Formats: sequence, structure tokens, C-alpha cells
Amino acid sequence: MVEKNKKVLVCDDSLLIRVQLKEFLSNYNPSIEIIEATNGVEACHKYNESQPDMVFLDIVMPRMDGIECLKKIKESNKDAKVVILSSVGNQEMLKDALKAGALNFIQKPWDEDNIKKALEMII
Amino acid sequence: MLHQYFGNFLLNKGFIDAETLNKLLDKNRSTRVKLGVLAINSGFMNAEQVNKVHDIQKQTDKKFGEIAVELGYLAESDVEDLLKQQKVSTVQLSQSLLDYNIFTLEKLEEILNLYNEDVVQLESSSTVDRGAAYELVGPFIKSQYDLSGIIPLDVVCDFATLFFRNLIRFVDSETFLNTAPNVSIPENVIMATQEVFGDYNFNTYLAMGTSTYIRFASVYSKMNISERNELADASVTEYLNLTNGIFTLNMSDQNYSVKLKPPVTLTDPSKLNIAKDIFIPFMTDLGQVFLIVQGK
Repeated sequence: MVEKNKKVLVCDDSLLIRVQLKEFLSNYNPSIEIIEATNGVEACHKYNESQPDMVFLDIVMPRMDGIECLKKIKESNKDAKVVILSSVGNQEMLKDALKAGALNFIQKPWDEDNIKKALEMII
Repeated sequence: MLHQYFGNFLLNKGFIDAETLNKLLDKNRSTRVKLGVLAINSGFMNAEQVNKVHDIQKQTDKKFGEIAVELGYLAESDVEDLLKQQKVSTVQLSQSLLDYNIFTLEKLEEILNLYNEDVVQLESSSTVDRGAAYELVGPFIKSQYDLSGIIPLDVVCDFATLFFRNLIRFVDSETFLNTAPNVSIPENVIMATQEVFGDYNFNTYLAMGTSTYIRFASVYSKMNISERNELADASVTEYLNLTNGIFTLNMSDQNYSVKLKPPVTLTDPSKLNIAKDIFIPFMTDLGQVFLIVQGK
């Protein structure tokens, strides 16, 4: 049986981060299907629509921030694999993210090994 | 990789899982940090010495600091300095890790050494260390501005020092503070701006002329950007967001809570107040770059 391609949702309001992360993911494994969102509202919608295997989620975003979005995604699927990717890596944010069910919290600019470790959970 | 909070370090390196860390962080604020943990974190004592002091404490009526001084592990001034660090989030988390038996003292020492090595490596990889950068930026700001009652000048100086070091690290290693008189914002200015709020409230601006802006975007993103477009804006705002993110981390280490609004791009300089805002000009090989801090 052929395993279906893994889907990863990349949510960040910065085009630069989306471009860089997409490039990294494609190089890491060209079969990954990448879905993009630019804010929390869009990410929730695309999560429900596509049911991705993993989400990389920024925190500081317009309309709905990453923590709020994470809570909504976990409400719709308690097993959702969500990794926070943010420049605001302080104690308060880490606490909020873990409480909401984040798998990991990677600080920008990211260490590629940390992204790879996260991807190993699905690939 | 930049300086990261000790909790993120533990998680990313796989020393602890998310569930356990979450439980510890809940209890962290009420944790009373003991001198032994402070001494290990600062590298003044090792786990074996701390355990020896603990053993002696069981047989005498003396305090940890007193015994450590008697044994020659600490100077009396060390004890005072260490106690000032009790509110630092790294040591609070270290104490929680011991209190809830996640690590032994020996294991904690090993992990703290790895963490502190990371911090030292980052310090030495920058062309200008923090102290030297502060010595340049601090007096400049303090001599020109009086912000009493708006934002503590020390906070602005810390922030500007971080900004300066990031310019050196990410944009141009030869960046310098431009103290020449009459340096002014160019007419074709483009600005990335981001609001900082919480225990301190101010707006931050990264301002420069159009051609510098495009070159800045290209250098920071490591992409070929030849005009002002969405990617250029994303690159410059992301630089500001990164700097502000590290600032929130530094503040969190001192137990201050500051948060960020999403960064945006502006071209209208009327938001700036020449008389009140703090303008800090840096010269890079890409051109003149301004950091502007606006109290609220």
C-alpha cells in the first residue's frame, strides 16, 4: 500500500517566513504538501478543510493570534500536532502554548534540527 | 540560533516533555529559589560542593551561604549578588526541576552548563559584545533624551543595544552609531513599526530611505529583492519582529511581561514626533538606518 503524502500547514503573517519555511520543507521532503495561512482565522479554516498532519504556527498575527488559533484547532481535533514557531520565545508565551497543547515551541530564527525533529513525528 | 529561554532549550533538546514542562511552569512563580541552585547557575559552585554544604547543614544550625563562605566556595559578596537573581526565570525553573525530582542536582548542573555554553557561544560570535555596544548606545541616548515618566531610559538603552547588535549580526558587521549632528529622516522614508505593550508600553520604528530599505530587505532575507514589494516589507518587518521578540525574552528573564502587536509597514512620517521620540541613527554599508522609540 502506498502511503499518502503528508500535509503541513504553515501559518505566519510574514511572507518571508512562509517562503523560507516552504523552501525548507520542500528540500527536506519534496512529497510534503504545503498549505499556507496568513493569520489564525485562515489557519483554523484551512485546518478544518485539509486536516493537515502537522501545523507550524506563529503567535503574533493579525485577526487571531497563534495561541487562540491553537486552542481552536485542539478543540476540533485533540490529537492535532501543532508546533509553535515564534520570535517571542519567553516564559509566558511558552506556558500559554504548552497549556493550549502545543507539541513544541521553536524560536525564530529557527534551528533546522528542531524543525526536522518535529517533522520526524509525521514522516 | 539566538538566545532562548531555558524552558525552550529543555524542550528543544529533549531533556523534558511538553506535558511535564507545562506542569512545572504553572508552579514556577511561587518557587523559592535556593542559594545552591543560584550558585550552580552562576558557575560559582558545582553539584558536589552544593551537596557537601547540604550535608553540613543537616548537622549544624548554619545557613547555606554561611557554610559555603566558610568552605571558601563563595565570597560574602557572591552571596549578595546571587540572592539578587532569585527572580530570574531560568533559576526559578531550575529550582522547580529539582523540587519535583525531574533532575538530580548533578544532572541539572550538566544541563545548565550546556545552556550557559550556548549563551557564551552566542556572545562570542557577535562582533561587538553586549557591554561594548551598551557603552556606545547608552551615553548617546542618556545625553540627548529625558524620558522620565514615559519609559525608563535603561530599558530604552537595553533595547537599542540589542537592536545595534542585531544590525551587526544580520545586516552589516561594520555598523556604527552615527553621532554626527543634523542626521535627519529622509523624505522617501519607509518604516517598519511594531507596538510593544504590557509592563512597558512604546512603539518601535525601523526607518530608512527607499533604496536602503530595498537593500536591507535583500540582505536580511538573503534573497534577491530589487524593488519595494510584499517580500521586502515582510523582510524588514520580520527583522524588527525578531529584535522585539528577543527583547520580550530578555524582559521575561527579569520577570517583566511585555507583548507585541503584529508589525506593519508605514510610509507616512507624520506618526513620528521629532521633539519627543527617541531617534537613534546607525550607519550601515547599506545606508542610514534609524531606530525610533516612541513612548505612549
